[in-house]
Parts: sequence; C-alpha cells; structure tokens
Amino acid sequence: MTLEVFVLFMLGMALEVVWMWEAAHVQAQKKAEMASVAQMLPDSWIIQAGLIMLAGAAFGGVHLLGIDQVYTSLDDGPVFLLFTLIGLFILITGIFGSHLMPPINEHSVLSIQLLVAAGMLTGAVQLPSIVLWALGTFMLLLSLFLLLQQRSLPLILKALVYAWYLALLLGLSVMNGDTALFSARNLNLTSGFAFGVVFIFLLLHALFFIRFFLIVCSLILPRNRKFIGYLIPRLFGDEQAQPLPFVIITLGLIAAVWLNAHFNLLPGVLFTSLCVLVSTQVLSRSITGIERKL
Amino acid sequence: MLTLRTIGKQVLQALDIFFFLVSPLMILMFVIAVIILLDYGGRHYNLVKNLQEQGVEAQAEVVDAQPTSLGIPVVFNQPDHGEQYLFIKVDYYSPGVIESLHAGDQVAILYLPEYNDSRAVLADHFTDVKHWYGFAVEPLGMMLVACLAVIVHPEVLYIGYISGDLIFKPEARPKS
Repeated sequence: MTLEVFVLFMLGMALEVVWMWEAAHVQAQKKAEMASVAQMLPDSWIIQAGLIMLAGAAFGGVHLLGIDQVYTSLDDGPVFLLFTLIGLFILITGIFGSHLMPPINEHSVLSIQLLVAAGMLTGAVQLPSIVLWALGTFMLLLSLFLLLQQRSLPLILKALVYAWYLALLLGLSVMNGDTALFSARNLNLTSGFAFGVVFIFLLLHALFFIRFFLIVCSLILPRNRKFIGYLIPRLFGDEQAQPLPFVIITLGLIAAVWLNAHFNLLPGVLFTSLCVLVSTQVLSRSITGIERKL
Repeated sequence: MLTLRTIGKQVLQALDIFFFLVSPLMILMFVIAVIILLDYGGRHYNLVKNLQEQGVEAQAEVVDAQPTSLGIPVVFNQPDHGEQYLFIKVDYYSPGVIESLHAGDQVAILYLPEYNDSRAVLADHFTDVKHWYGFAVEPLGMMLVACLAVIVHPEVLYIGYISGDLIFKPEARPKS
C-alpha cells in the first residue's frame, strides 16, 4: 500500500482500538464488581479527535514531502517495528488483559451469522467445505431458536456459542487475506481505512480464539467448569438489545452488504467484516437491560 | 496396601504439580502449533493454487522407483534448459500409486518452471495432491498434546479475566 493509504490504515486501527476499549468498558462500568479491573478512557472523543488531527497532519506531511505514492510493505524496517509494537499491545491489552474484547449477546451472534450468510449469498464470502456449511446452518437455526426462547443459556452452551462467534471471525480473518491486502497496489483510501479498522478487530478475535478454544476444551473436566462462571458474563451477556434497533441495524447492514456486492465499492470480504464489526459494537452499546430469565 | 495407596497418591500429586508447572509452556506450544498449521496449510494451498494457475504439464521418465528424502526422482527435457531432474513427493499419494511406478516408466507431471522449484506432482493424480491434508498431522499432534496438558490445569488461561485470588485460592470463591 502507498504511504497515504498507510496513514489512513493506521488511523483506522487506532480508532478501532478506542472504540473496542469503550465497548469493553461500558459493560464493565455497569457491573460494579468488575470495576476494579476496568478503567474508562478519559473522554475518548478527545482521543479520537486527536488521532484524526494527527492522521490529518501525517497525511498532509506525506503529500507535502511528495512521498504519498511511495509503496510500503511489512518488510520495511519501521513498518515491521510498528507492527511488532502493535502485536505486543494487542497481546497485553486484549489477550492477557480484558480491555479490548467487546461483550456480545445472543442478538449479536445472530446478527453476525445473518451478515455472514448475506455475504455468502452475494458471493463475497465462501465456505470451503460442506461440513462448515452444515455447521453454519445448524448454528444459525440454533441462534434463531435462542432468540425465540426467553431463558438464559447454560454457561457451557454460552461458551460454545461464543467459540462459534470467534471461529466465524477467525474465518473472516483468514478469508480477508491480510498479507495480500497489505501489499495490494490498488488499495484506495477508503479501503485502506476500512482495512485498518477490520484488521485490528479480526486479529484480536483470532488470537483470542486460540485461548478460548483451550478454555472450551478444558471444560471436559467438571472441576474446571467453576471458572467459566466468572469468565462468560464478561464476554457473553444476558442483556439483549431492544428488538427494534436490533432488527433495523441487522437489516440495514444486510442491505449494505447486498449494495456493496451490487456496486462493488469495497472488497466483498472486507466489507462483510466491516459490517460484522459495526453490528458487534453497535449492538453491545444498544443493550438496554432486557435480560433473559434464569 | 496402605503404602501402595500412599505412593499412588504421591505420584498423582507429583503429576498434578508437573502439569500445573508446564501448562504455560503447553499454551505456548499450542500457539506455535497453530502458527505451524497455518503456515503449512498456507504453503500447500499456494502450491495447489500455483500448480492450477501456472503449472506446466510434461512427460517425464522415472529415474528410480525407490524414493529419496525429497521424493521419487524423474527426469525430462525442459525447453531451453535441456535435461532437468525433479522430485515427486510420495506423501501425497496412496501406496498403490507409488508402487505402480517403476524405473524407466513414462509419467505425466505438473511442475512450476517459474518458481525454480524441485517439486513436481503426478498430473494424473492431481486430485490426491489437492485433497492432501498430511501437512496437518504434525501440528495437530502437537496441539493435541498441548491441549491434553492444559486441560489438567487450565488456570493460566483465565489470568487477566478473573482475579488471581478466584483462580488460585479456592477459599476466596463465593459459595454457591
């Protein structure tokens, strides 16, 4: 990618980190018992404005110096160093810590599955195996069933549904072909920004999937199940979004996936991933206290 | 009898402590195995993709039916480069296919002239190459071993999400 696209790619990543931090801590702030772990960002809008101004200055700078069309790749020393630092940051805050994982609920999981299904129907997303097709259909039907029933899910089932949600994001991450997209020569400014936002979100979830997969495997032993009771409420809440915002957001994003496939505005998988991200974060913010019965 | 039971208990305790101590290493091993799996899978996927898109078919002669560490050597005349030796990796094919090859046999091969690669595949059995998942055996084995060890003591996996007291001090957990 060119340097000007790289600037927007970095801006996308930085803004997404702020949004994920906010989403992770909005939930934590509600739960008083978790408050010791959570720390709210001081006025995140100031940080966002600062990041946009910084990116604007960098964007202007590379144009003034006439290096805006210079190509950069992961092999360049400074870029490699930058990505190593980003990787460490993600590892500490998102994988070893709990500062970046946005909490989800049954509505989010259903919405994401519908978006991936819409991506598949428009040809943007392709499932490589019939087994995955069958599993995907089963999980979609299960999510629809869970939407209709009013009871809270058992913790182990929640853990499995959460693992499926992470697996979907890992699949999108693999399909995005991040390395190829990074070295793509025809990436425009909008795609560069969208790629930055999606890249950090999917990377975090793909890495967390490895950890969560081991956690799910450890549930085979009954003595390990006591831990899941503390973990799952932080990741997968019982509080759902209001039905109307849920329907509007999901249908709106499905329509956006279809329009993107029709007008070919952004690469299909990238746009579907972006819609998944928007759905996860918007629905986690629109939780208004509709809680499942135990 | 009592002594045997005591020894058994102590052995189990020692094993439990061992698994507790190695669990962080096993998590690391699992992560490494996942990276290896993705790397091997990606390389195989690229090989198949390149062979499909840029592979060149040629008639080659089997030099020796006995496979070397690189595979079964075959020789053919490459336009502009003369005689060239390539190797057919045996792992892709069933034993029957490999046993049917004899020194001096003519076989159709697919190779990648652009990549300066010493590998070739049997053109008539390309579907075997396409559907080969042998690359996953080694990393999946590592993942399984690591997973089994972590299952015994998964406490480390919860660090950062649950307070240390709740993980390591059972008396600190609220009674349900």
